[in-house]
Amino acid sequence: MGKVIVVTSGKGGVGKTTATANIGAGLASQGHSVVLIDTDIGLRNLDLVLGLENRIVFDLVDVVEGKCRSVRQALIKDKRFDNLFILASAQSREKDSVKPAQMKKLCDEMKKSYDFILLDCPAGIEMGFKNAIAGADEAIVVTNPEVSAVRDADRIVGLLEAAEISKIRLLLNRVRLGLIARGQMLSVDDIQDILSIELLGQVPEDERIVHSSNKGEPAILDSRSKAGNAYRNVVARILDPEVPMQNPDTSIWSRLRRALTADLGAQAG
Amino acid sequence: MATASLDSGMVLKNTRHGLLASLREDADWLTLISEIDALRARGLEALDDDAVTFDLGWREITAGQFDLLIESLHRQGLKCRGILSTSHQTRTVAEERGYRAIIGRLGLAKHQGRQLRRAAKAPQDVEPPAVEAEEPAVCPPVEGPPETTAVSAAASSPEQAEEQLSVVPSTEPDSASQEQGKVERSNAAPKAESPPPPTPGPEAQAPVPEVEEPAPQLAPSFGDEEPTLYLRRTLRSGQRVVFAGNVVVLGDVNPGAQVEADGDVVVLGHLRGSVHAGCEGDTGATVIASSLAATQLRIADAFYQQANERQFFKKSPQNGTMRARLCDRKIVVEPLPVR
Repeated sequence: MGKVIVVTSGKGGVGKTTATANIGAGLASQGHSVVLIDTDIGLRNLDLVLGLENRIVFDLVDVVEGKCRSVRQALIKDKRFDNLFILASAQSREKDSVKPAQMKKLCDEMKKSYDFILLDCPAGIEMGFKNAIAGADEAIVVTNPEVSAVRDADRIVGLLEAAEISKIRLLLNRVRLGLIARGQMLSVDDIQDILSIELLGQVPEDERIVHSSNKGEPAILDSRSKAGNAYRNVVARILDPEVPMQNPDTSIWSRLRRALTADLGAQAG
Repeated sequence: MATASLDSGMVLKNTRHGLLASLREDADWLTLISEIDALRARGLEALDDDAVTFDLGWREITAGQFDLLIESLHRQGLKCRGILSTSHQTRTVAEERGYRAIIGRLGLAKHQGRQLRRAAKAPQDVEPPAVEAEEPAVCPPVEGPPETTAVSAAASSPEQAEEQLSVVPSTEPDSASQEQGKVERSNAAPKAESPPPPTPGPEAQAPVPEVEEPAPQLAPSFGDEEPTLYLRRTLRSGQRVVFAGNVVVLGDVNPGAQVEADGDVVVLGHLRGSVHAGCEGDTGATVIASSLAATQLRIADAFYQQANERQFFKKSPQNGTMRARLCDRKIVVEPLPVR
């Protein structure tokens, strides 16, 4: 029985689609069967970010309306992974073309055949959001360390709790360590003070993300991408919560400093 | 829409659940009955289901007075859907006759808060406590549907978020069993709110569901208990609590959350949202919080002006539990005195 995870945020542009694509690719690379569903009807971009837009024949609305024989017909297999599939959204329809009950039925059906179903939720709290959370078991709330993103994330967490989604985890995206060190950006502690949900991971701001999106290759496959490395850690933590969280500060000096102070701490203690 | 001038003791409001009549707590009962006699004659279009809910506030009525009310309604072919009252005596009288009673009030009597109530209950020889010299501007009577302030003053248990928004004359006994404070949640969006069917008659009224009352039978009553909503949760952005009484939150009030109370607001956690105590004009209301950092703090009709605009992510104030109260029409924030 698979798990249905909705990737949501409230605020737009924080990195939901990027996170969905990268986490999906990461889980597939570890051998699990994954389906990514883009629930942003009218503004589809998950297929774009994965470089699969030319292959879309049927979309989510077609599946829900019964225009294709089965969901399998509409799923597009990824170029790079055999066990990663995407169900794209419709570009020319509107958000009310799909009802929450239909989404729930779809997710329940797909849970039987795949290990992970990741739902890329649109921004906002209206019908698109309600559709996306209808069939979800767990949620990953993506946010940036920035006041309006955190405020919106708080609202979203409230709505998720009200919808009785049991496992809600936080993914902190576009973290800029320099600004945090200078006190100009919210730190994890500040954010957790408000949100108080389990932290899944932190992904640093990375220019190579733009490069990855343009190429249609998820950053997790790019070994030079800091964000990609962070996503690998996130995927490891999804599969095994005991895996320690990677510290976003990955420069050689800070790693050295941490290693040295850790030793000293051990000796003193 | 509310009709009737403020001179009369009754204000009518057409709500989603039918007609609501608010009766001034300090008006003469027989005068009110004569106004009720004229209800049908007013030809109000709201009377298509023949039932009226009465908001009696903190007025204490006797069995005889209640019977007069019911007789008046029967004469006009009307029914009483239920009553709102913060008085235990009144509620008992209503329930004995098979009518639903919900704890709460909408407050038409010019609100001097607890002072007026105590004066009404105090024995005659005791001087009622000094009343504020100038009458604060009465907060406008509740705008919008009355269910925003009609509530049951249940004790603890955290309420379920999906509870119906309308506490007032909902007649579905199962959904009513979870009535806690009126926590107006836009969170309830995922669950559709089903309109309650109109009551067939007083016989079919469900008894008041398992709402935990402040147990006046068990302990000797002091006579000055106040309805209080106790929330054992953190209020997140977008969540709003409106209550006709005091509100205690065991948890944080995040920025974007709103608490509106007729009485005091006590937050045992970080108060970072917006709070309005003494909604109806009670200038004696206070706001107490372990960490007072509200985005907006209002008591009655006064706003709290901070010395300097806080940054969102400044560290929480470290000066301990603070209390905000009205002093000379200005809000004063000071450490909570330990007596």
